[in-house]
Amino acid sequence: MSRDERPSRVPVWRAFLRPVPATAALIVAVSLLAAVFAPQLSALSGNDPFTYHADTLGPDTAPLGVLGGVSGEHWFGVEPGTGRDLFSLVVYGARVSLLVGIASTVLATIIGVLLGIIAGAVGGAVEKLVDFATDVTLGFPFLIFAIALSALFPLEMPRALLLTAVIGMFGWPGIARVVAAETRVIVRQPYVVASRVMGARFPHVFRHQVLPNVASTVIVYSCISLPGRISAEATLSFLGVGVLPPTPSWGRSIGDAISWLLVDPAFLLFPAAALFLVTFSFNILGDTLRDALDPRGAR
Amino acid sequence: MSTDDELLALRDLRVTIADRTIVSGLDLSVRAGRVTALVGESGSGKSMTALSTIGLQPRGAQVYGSATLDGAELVGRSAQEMRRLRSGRIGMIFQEPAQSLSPVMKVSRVFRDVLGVREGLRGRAPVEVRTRELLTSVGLPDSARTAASFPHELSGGELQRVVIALALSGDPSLLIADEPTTALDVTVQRGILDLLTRIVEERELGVLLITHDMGVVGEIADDVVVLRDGEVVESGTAKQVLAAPEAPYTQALLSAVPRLSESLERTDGPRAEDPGGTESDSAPPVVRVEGLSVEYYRRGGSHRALDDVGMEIRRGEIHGLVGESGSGKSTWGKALAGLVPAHARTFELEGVDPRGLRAAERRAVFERVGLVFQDPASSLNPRRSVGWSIGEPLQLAGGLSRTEIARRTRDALELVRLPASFVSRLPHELSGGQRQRVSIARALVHEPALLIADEPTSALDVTIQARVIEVLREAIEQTRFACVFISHDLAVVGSLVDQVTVLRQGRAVEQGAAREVLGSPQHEYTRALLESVPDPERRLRGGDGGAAA
Repeated sequence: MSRDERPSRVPVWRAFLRPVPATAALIVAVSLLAAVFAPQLSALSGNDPFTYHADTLGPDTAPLGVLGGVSGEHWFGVEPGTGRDLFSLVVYGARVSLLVGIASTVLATIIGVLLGIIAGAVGGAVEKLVDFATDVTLGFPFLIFAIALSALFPLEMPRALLLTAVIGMFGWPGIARVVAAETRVIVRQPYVVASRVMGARFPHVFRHQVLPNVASTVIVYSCISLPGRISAEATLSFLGVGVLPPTPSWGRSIGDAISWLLVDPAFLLFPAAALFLVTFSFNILGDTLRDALDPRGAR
Repeated sequence: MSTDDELLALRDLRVTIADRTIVSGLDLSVRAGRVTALVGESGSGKSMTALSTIGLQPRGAQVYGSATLDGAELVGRSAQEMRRLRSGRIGMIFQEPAQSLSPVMKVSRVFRDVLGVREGLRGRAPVEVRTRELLTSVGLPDSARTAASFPHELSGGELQRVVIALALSGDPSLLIADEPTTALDVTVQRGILDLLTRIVEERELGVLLITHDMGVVGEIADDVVVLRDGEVVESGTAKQVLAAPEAPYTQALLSAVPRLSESLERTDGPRAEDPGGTESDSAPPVVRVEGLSVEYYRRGGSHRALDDVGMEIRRGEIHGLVGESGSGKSTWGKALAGLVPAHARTFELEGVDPRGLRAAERRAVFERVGLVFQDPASSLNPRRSVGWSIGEPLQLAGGLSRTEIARRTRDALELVRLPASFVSRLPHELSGGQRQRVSIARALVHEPALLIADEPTSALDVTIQARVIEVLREAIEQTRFACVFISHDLAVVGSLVDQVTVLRQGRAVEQGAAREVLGSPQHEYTRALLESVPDPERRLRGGDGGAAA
């Protein structure tokens, strides 16, 4: 009888074989590779994101040619005003966006899981404290705080670190709440009660009883929240408090493109499309992962 | 056997889901004024049969064959027609009354909706009158209070009566009852069974009773169909099937039902020779508790779950705690394991009072306690292998090498008669009974002084329950630990324990040797409990007398 149950456990990767998740996975993989190999990729087109190409610009500093100057030399055209290669800008922009997005998600997840499990498992005053901290963090005006902080932050320090810290520190409440709620259920399960009666202390319960059982929720939740963090970085860069020029970033490129929208719409198109495709793909992956890890979802 | 009085007739009913046969060729008939029981263990397809008959089979299920209600074919009808048929002709009662009613609706509101559909009643006054009439007819005299209540304000028995009243609206000719008393206490079950019997007599309707409990069958069924893996094993009148079962499976089902009379004879046997364990006279008893009280504090008040109770258990002795839900029996077990704060004059585990000790020492005392819980689904960590779970107490105790833990894990598996290959399995790959045996193995692996088993067999089928109890009994005989066995099932308790305490609302109403308490109960509550236990043979024995009365 128990033999029959085994085949019903479909391996998780099977869920990613369907066309839409597979495409999403491909896009994420390509963008990750682009971020890692950005210098090589832009060198492939014979450009880098810092050289000005005044010859590609017309007298009004708008790019010459169709679609913002798309040509064999400049695959996505050039940036108006400076003539920098847009393909290189987008490829280098992936570095900042993905680095900040992933690093801040990891940070938020670690803080959230730790606080969530402690709150759910210990209960009492500790739980109230974590709840309070959650409420305070959620009530904080994130954007205003981030803008104010970037003014205080010395310019010499790496901006990506600041962005990661700010986005990560504001991102943990959501995951902490989800994990705390799950932990509260798990610690009342008989197997945890039995383990405690047999002398288990908190570290054992944390490592063996709670963590493995919240793991799938945590993975899915962070995967779903990742695109939001990438957008948050883009938002901050768009507002001019993200990474400093001349470091390329999707958010800043989009911000710059707004003022050129009527003259050169293609300038907005490429970075915005990159941002949209990556966040959309991460969302799809998160959803797929959630369905794949949910045993009830398996038909 | 004329067929014209057949109310519901199933002929060669087959149900398949995705090429898997759930029910294969079922014949069954329900007659007006009679109860037909469909008996089987979990997974036998009995609920699926009932649901398919009335067009409520799950999506993706294919139903073949024929089901006729008063001669009208039911299989293959459109959902619309089935809905109309169900609303006028069929009533349904489910197992879990608390889940049969919406928690946010008052009972009166439910009746308003249901009466509107099933009896076409509109307007406040006629609905109220009819609601009162229905509630009174199911033995809820204070119908105004019941109607004004939310489901959580009613007891399980009251709720099930409300559900029955709802099922009786529209004067159905067929009532389908899917395990109507399984979730209820025995004394409440007795009331519901009496009510069903009365309804059948008064209203001349036919009942299709789905149950796993041969005791319930013996109490009210007229005809029986025994189902196993979707196939009919045996069918006939209740008298035939219960008195002279032909199929080996039916015989096994019947013999697995624990019987009080038999179990009392058993306690006369080997245990009488070594009462209390002669060798342990010098050693302190494993458990000595006096004046134990547990109070739960909730918002704006407290609730005394246990009130001044006590017990003493020696090595190799099994103490049964019996009572209905809310009697405090589980609280007692938790108090012994140190899981709830308790007040007691004396509280000693192996002669040591853990209350005055520091945390580490207290932990060492409670480490000598093993726990087995009711629900096999949640008593093992779903993400850890069986071997890990069994070895966990040893890992926690520390000081043992990995090979030593593996060896003791294998020994524990052997003790509960499971193959050593189970070590690498995950809990969801095991059946309920196997999981429960793994729980027992985990509780026994570090050779505890005391095992607390809280309803360890209540969620299991009878045949599996019998095996688990056998395993438990053997383990106790081998390792001679003390055991607290908590159960609502008097027959199970009687078959296993030496001493018994009958609990009611936190107080011990009767305590003593199992044979005396269950054999010749002194307290009226114990007597009421004993009389409520459904017995497959009660009507067979008193068959002639019952007919004359």
